[in-house]
Amino acid sequence: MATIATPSSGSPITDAWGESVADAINHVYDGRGYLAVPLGFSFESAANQTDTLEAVSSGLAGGCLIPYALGFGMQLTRHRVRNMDTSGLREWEVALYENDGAGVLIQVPGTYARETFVPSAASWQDADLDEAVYLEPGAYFQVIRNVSTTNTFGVGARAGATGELYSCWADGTMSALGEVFDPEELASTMSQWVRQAALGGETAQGAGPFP
Amino acid sequence: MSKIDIPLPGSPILDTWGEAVAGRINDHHDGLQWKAWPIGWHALMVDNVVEDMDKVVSSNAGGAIYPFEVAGGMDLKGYGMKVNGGAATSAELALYRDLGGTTLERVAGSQAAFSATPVTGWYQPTLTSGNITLAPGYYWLAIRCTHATNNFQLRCLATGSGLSACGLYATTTLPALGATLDPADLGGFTSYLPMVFLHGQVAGGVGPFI
Repeated sequence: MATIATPSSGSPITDAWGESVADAINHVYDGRGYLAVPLGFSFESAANQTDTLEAVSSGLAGGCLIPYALGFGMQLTRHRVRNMDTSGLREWEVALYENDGAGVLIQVPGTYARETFVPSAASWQDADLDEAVYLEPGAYFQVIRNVSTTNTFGVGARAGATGELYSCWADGTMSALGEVFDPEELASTMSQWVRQAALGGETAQGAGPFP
Repeated sequence: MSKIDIPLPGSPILDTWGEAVAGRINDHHDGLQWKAWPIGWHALMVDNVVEDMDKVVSSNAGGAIYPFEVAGGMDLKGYGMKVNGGAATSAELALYRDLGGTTLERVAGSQAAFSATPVTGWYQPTLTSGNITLAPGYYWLAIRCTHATNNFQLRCLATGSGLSACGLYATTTLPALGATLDPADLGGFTSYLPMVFLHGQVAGGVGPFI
């Protein structure tokens, strides 16, 4: 078995890159991710479908759930979505969830965000977190929900081929996003559309063109 | 500073996945990955444009950085890139990571160089100092023109209305690739998805694994 030397005072155990093993345990030794895209997503995949999220009615609205697999740590700063609307006030809320293994999804603390805007053309929209949240490598679900009581919210999507199941959606049955998300609020079948969305991370502490 | 307990005999320090820290240090606990493509890439893509990296003028040149996810760990052998045909040109390549500072940090030993009078096609420069091990994580591949007379042209796919944030480019402002890369030397995001990959060695580079 490999052995690890006992650290002397003020001398952390370092790995081959000179980083402390303590950081490695915390996964900080991996380069931080700047951008993560949903499973099945490609940059080439221009949206050719619109997932129209229904406006809020009696506390329930349209929404969708998008899976991610992070193979790296990430200092999450924002959620991104392709909005297909071209006019009118649009409002969306979004948060990241993890599977707790017990039938519900648990919101990752600090990942909730909300944005209001008036589009003039289809566009990428960012909902910024109040402050960055470090995500460890793993599987996550981004849940997007319309919060307007007046207008729908169009999420861009790319239709996959038959049998390719990428995401889930809710037709007017999703309650406001909270600490726990119940998959029972989703439609009972999965979607063959890849939603156009992303997770944005902070890189090089936001220097240069990195926002 | 974080503290690590001294292991008892026969009890390796474990991380939160139950894997030995010693194994993580050596990065050999992961299966090695043969190739890694830029984030957002898929195999049906075809190149239809070039990223034109300007020749060196007053020590600065054109270049770009592209993000990669290495999920399996790699015995990195070199890089693959589809180069546009034309006059004699050259470029340098290196891999960088974000360790939480204000600059990106070069992965030791990840440098490679390209020099040719290229015909349009794939070239695979190998690392200057031999293979290195990459831990799973997120990396940036930097490519910079080093030719004093001619530009370096990388074949790419214009991504249209897909997510247009495939990497970052510098038209004329990138200094020679060094131990750190300052994002302030980059101009902005490119919507061109590059025809590049990280080339790992598996099974000792035997059979079709070359």
